[in-house]
Amino acid sequence: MTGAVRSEIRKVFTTRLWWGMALGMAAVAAMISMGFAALVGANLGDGGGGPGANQGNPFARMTAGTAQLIYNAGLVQQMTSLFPLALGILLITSEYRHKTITATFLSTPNRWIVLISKMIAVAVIGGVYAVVHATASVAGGASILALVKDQPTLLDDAEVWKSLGIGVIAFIVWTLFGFGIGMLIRNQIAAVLVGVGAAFVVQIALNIIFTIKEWYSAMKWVPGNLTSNMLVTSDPTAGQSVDPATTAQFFDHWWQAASVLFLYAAVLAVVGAFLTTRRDVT
Amino acid sequence: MTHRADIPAGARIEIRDLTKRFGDVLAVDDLTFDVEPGRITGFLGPNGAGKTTTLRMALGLVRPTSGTVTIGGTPYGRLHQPLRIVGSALEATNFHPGRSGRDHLLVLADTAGVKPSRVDELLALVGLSDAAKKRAGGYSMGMRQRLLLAAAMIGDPRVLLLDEPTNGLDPEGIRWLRGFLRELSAQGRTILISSHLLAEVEQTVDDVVIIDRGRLIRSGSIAELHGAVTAVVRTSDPAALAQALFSQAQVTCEPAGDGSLAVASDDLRLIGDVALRTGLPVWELRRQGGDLEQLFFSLTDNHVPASPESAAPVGMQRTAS
Repeated sequence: MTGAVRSEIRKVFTTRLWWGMALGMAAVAAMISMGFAALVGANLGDGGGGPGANQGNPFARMTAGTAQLIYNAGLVQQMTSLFPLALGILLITSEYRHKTITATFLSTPNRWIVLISKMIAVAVIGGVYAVVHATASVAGGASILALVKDQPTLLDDAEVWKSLGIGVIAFIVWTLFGFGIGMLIRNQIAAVLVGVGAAFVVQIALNIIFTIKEWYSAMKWVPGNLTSNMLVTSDPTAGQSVDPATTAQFFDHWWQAASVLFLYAAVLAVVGAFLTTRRDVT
Repeated sequence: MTHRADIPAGARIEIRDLTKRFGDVLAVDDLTFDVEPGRITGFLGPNGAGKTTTLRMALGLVRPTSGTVTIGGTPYGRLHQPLRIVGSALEATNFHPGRSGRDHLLVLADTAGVKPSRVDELLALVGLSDAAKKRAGGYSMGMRQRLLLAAAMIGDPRVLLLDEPTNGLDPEGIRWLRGFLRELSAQGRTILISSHLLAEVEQTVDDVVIIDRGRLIRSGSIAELHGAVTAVVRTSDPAALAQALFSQAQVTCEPAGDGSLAVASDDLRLIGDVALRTGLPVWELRRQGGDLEQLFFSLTDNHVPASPESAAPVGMQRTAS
């Protein structure tokens, strides 16, 4: 088993895929984080904390929650989660595309051991991505806060670090999502299209539909919202008046959101793994 | 727990009643044969005969519809660290183009539980040391075959299963492979190599197993099969001549295409006499110096059972049995 895990981890780090994607993700994460940081103190729409506002403005004042938003901006914006998702898909589907899966199953005929080893390797690279993402986001966001906005970076706040720590779980789950999708749809291009399509287009569509219909309690089940729910543990609107209806779009505790998200990934991965153990490798 | 030490020095591969059906296609049909240790066995048949499917079943990649394959008495899927018992090379495309040859072997070394130093030894053994750190996508076909062979050898296995190992090798490479396999075989290992080209393995193998359309056609030592055909006769009614040869002289034959028969006797006079007594013209009659290639084609292209009883009705048709 340790040999199989080491083998799977070695596979991840011996092609250029992981750092190429990490680089792309870091650039996107830094830019979105800088964009969010630039909003601090801005008077947004009907918010601004004035009387009659029904939706709080998370950027009105720099709070711990605001910092959590800025340093996880890529994930909150549902953009950078696409990178671990695509990575998970590419890692498993490239085994089928290049037929290296044959050698993998020959060296470890028990396919459950192979798949569990792969999931461990996927979790490891997900963790690495979380660190890269946090580093890029903090670098981007904090530099705007400190140099341009003249705001506190709040990097000495425990809530901010808690959020970055939870980010590791978020990345592992999103990489596992990709892994599960890749096992179900072994064709690389189809899997990437379906996976990224579902994560990007369908999630945004769902959010729009749920908002129009005012189905706020349904929104909290959308994976991207669950991710934000995990990461933003401290209320960024701190003390502003908020329409109680819209609070239904979040779970009360970050670990509830994390559990639901993890359950999604587990279901995908187990179904994919079950099929993989049954299929012929030709 | 099955450890290396539990597998006897010569691990015999036993294939029993092996059948695989993909939907409507019967890819492998009730195949039974053994692969003996200390010998090189050629697994022959035209493309699509079911060779690769058989090998994949032997390696636990494809689930048989029925039947079993054991290696040293154990199915592949139940071997502990199988790379240390069975080495296999299935296709020349089995590499991630972006990963170096050396990294490919290291990935296998991890699961086989062998030291990284073994990887460098193997790269030197197959002559890939210089290209070891280059990405496998840039390898030539011959280099890929060498890398596949190194991968198969990673755990110093007692059994080698190689699918079309001569594909893409130049004559020099084939000679090199022959020497390499000969040496391994002399150490008592069991070696099975598949090919659709008899000529490329003819001088390498000791035994042959010939299949066509999933069925076993012939198996035996190459010397036996070379001896099987020793004369060719062409006449107007090959089926009648075949029957006459069997009833009058107990000599068996098989159709060899173009109205000729491959006769299992080199007594040209006897064949001529039988033809005369049967009232059949002899259009061609010659000795054949054990050309297995021709046998291979006649077996796989126009296969009829060798016994005249079943061959009698019509000369060239396949008869299901």
